[in-house]
Amino acid sequence: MTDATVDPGAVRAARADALQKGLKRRYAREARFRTYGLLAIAVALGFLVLLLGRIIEQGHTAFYANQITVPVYMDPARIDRDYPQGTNFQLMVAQQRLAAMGVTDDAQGTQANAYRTLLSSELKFRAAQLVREDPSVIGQTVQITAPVSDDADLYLKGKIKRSEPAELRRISDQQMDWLDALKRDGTVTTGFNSLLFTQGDSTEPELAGVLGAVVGSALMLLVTALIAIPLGVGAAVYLEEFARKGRITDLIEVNINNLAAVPSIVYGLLGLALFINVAHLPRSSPLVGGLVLALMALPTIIIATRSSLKAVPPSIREAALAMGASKTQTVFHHVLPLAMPGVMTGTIISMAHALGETAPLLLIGMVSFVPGIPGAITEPAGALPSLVYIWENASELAFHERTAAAILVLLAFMIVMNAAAILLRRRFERRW
Amino acid sequence: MIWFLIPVVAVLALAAYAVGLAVAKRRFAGAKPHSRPQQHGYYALIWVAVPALAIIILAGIFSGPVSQNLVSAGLPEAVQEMEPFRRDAFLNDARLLGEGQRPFQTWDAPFDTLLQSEAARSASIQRTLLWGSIAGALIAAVLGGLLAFAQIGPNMRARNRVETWIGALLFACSVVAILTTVGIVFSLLFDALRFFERVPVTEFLFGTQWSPQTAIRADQVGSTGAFGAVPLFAGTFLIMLIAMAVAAPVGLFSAIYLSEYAGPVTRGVVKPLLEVLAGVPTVVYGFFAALTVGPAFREFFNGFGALLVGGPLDGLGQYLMLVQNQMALVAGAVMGIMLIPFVSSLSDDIINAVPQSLRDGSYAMGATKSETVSRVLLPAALPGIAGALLLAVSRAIGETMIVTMAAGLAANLTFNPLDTVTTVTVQIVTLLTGDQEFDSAKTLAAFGLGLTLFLVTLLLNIVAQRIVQTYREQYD
Amino acid sequence: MKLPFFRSPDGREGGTTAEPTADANRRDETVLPQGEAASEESFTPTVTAPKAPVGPTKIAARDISVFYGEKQALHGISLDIPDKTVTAFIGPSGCGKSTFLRCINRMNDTIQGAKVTGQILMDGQDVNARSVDPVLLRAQVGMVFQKPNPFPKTIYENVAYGPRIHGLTNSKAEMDGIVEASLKRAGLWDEVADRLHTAGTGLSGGQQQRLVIARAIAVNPEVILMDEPCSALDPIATAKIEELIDELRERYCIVIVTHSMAQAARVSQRTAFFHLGRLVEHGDTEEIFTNPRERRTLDYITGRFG
Repeated sequence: MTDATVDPGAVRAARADALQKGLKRRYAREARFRTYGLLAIAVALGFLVLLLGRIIEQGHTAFYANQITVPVYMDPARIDRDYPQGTNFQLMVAQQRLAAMGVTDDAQGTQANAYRTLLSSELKFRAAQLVREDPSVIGQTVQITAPVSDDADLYLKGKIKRSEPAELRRISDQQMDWLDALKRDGTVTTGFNSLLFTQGDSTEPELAGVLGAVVGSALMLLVTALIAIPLGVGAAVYLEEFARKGRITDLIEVNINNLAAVPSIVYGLLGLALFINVAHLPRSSPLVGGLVLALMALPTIIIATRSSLKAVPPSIREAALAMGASKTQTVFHHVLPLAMPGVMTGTIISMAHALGETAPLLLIGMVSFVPGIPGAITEPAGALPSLVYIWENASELAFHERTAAAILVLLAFMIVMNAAAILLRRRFERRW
Repeated sequence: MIWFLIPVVAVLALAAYAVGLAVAKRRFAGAKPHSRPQQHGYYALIWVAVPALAIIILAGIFSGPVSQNLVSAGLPEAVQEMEPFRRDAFLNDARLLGEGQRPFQTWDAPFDTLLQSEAARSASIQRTLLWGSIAGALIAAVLGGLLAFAQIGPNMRARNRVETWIGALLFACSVVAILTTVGIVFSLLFDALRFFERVPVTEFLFGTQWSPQTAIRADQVGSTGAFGAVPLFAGTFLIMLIAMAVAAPVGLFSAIYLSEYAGPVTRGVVKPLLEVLAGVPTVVYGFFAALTVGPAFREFFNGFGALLVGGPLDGLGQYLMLVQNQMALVAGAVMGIMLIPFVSSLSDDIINAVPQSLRDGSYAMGATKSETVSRVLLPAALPGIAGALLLAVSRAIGETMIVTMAAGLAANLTFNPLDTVTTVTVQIVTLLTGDQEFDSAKTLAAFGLGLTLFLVTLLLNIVAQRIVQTYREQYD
Repeated sequence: MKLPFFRSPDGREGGTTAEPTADANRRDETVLPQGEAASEESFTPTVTAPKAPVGPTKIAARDISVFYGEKQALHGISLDIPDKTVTAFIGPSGCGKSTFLRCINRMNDTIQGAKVTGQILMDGQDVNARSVDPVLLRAQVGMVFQKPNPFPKTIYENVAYGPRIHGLTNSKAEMDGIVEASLKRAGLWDEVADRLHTAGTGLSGGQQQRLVIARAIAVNPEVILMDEPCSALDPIATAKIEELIDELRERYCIVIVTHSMAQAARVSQRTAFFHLGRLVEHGDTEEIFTNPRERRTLDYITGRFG
């Protein structure tokens, strides 16, 4: 031993010295390391805040809209009582408004056309509707309320600014003056954008709503749930409770783990090839979408169900078997009910995941423009995430805020589902 | 549609249960039965439902291909002599017309009249098949029910039989998982092989030109498309690298902080928030990338470039001023954010699986936390973390929405993160959305890409899961 | 080579079976004459530990209490532990002896919700004082755990771990010297000299435990704490460790927690008996085993409860 002959006191002092010297450096490194960790979490959570903040910032304006309430003289000279939709009500209203303001238009009607573009086609539908319901309104003056056009709405919300160069904005100085005046005298009012929640998709942003997509997503999830939950729970019960461990179950197990990690777009290819090209199921329908999502959700549900079945202690099974219950009775009367909270939690989470899945829907045609609200699982329909994709691709600026609003609706559904799962877990979780 | 028969069969099955129950109760009078009457009811229910449903499912799956074969077997000569892809298009239109839908294209004489007659024939074949299947299913249900009722009696072991059926049913459920894999493999392989008949595998795998704009008809000009997928592979790889460069350090350090430093309160707050980040649909990330990150990055680089212009780095400045929204960096960075919670939660599990005794051993030696983490825990957890990162890589390669919305379509063979690149998944989406030509090389190319994607991710997953499992077993 | 276990052929080693948590594995490997039950009732292990001059007090605990959240695990322990001596802590499971051991190098700091009150003076300095850095304290107080826990590194790197993190060496040669000296002192050198760069986890259980001891002494500590160091080992490996402990006694203050009274009798000069979080009795090992003052001590060492 090298230090055996040296004075132990001196050795100790020297050693303590050496230790002390390194300590400062070591603690600096420790602090740095800890900071990296904190920084990483700050980055992750910062992104979350940024992501949600940006979407709320972009989307909140879509929840209110500007609408115009105007007296319309139902000019008998221009309205055909048998074909009211043939009348250009927007132009008619524009001319009436200009006349009331005392503006004289040129021969081409430039002013009237400019005024007309501030009004949405909803005005025409509502006016034509009035005529159809009661032809006697022709010749009278009626008050009609309708949304303003998307560009007018954006200006009133401050998203198009006067300071921008006039040739780059879609709304002229004069149109801005008109809108300001209308806003001032209360003809144009700001209110809750109910159209967003009562309409299907539309090519005109001011008339586009998410209801069609919400119904489409709901129908699709219904199909997914009806197929994936029984199949998934059944498969998990078989693998966990009945299957003898062997080559086949090993194969199934490896297979399920891999299926859970297959890219979602591959499921889209499967759906396209199998359900549409071979089985000729209707394209763009919630049925096909639901089937594809069911196959995707299946592995997740199986894995979640198996782990909650595993968590039920063997003593429960032994107790039931000892009472003379058969294997099936043991499983269905005792084990499965006890595992149910876990199964439901896992299932709801996988459904929420399926709700947000987009890529496979692109391939089975759920990104085509589907106006209106689907009524059956075999009709063409959109879905919330694919609506986000469609609107994001749209060129109209007004679709941007609606895209963010659609995302907020989608996230709201997902939050509700996840909260339900968490509540279930809290309420029924049992520690064995 | 045969599927509408399912509720009918369900009603029949419930009726069979009720009848079985009643029959059993009557026949048991005085005797001590082996099984309870309800179990006989279930027995009848199974015998009504299972054969009928089996017929419905088989008919649903196979009536399409069978009617197609029947229709093409009896085609008139003029149609027989058409080029294969035109014939397929013709057949498809005939089927659509027969189903009362609008055909894809208009056909010239004599095919317009032929189309009408073929549509009628197709419709009648489909009708025959449909009614045949319905009759078959109903007969099966009735026969099954009669068979079951005949067997009901005190000595019949209804419970055991029902349980055997339930076992078989559950087994069938788990076989669906295997069938899904088989389905994926076959649907990809079938169309991919048809693609490789037209484009040699070597050209696909090693070609450096990608421009799949094949014309609809062979006689059109400019009908040659190039299907060299190397630019796509390179683009996918580049975006994956950028994503991992973001996700791996941030995810790993979050996991380390959460498992070794954070108290229960911090963990209780941060973990659910990370789960929220994980639950955000990828289309939302795509929106974020396209409308927030992309413009922000472009403005930054353009502004930075403007500063350099005229200086010694004038060339770089000129280049930076032209950078567009759709750069690989944007898609990669946002994908990296998406992967943070994935990497973090997997690494967290893996670091937690390192036995406490190793931590104790290190602390007892006077090691600080960072020394324990970097010198003991990370080396011990290395294989597991490698597996987790491989799983993340597989995710990154298969991710579709972010790249579709933020990466762009230009198939540039480049490793410059500020350039626009395209990926395998983007091209699959592009090739299969919009106007689809029936059976063209362009459409089929998507399946070639899909097969490649599936095989690569499958390989990554198998390797990663094997590594993670071996790692876990080591500390069990 | 003296092997205390085999030295006494009269069945005295049966005392090991009095250990209440002897697991099945261990029982299988232990070659016992027979009649566990008989020996449990009436048998007191004979003290065979070498008598040695007890050194000056190294560690002085004063009124130590430990709380895990609401639960109090230790109640006012006061105890002097002498230098250059093996002190054994005995007592039934859950009696607080390991908890007390972990107070000495402040390993309880790493457990969430643990709170320690009272003083532990080491060379007159309170280890719980704010000014004392647990990192430095632990460089002074080595610890060996119940289960051998070599790091998943090479044998060499395992031993070099302490000197490396504490920055005790300046050159490769110096490190080689420390590794060799530590392995020699731990009695492992001859067995591993030719495979220093293979994984430490590839060694047998007993070798692993000696590797862990070598790792602990590589930083040249003053105190070595051992928490049931032999409970996961077979009798032959146990004998080797016990022999090693006896050799190390000459240089270090050693505290060993053990479930086996026979082991306490074989290796320790001083013994402290813990029960239900309280220190019942302490003193020279010989006295505790032959002439305990407390009834509970007698009952425990004769195997009437445990």
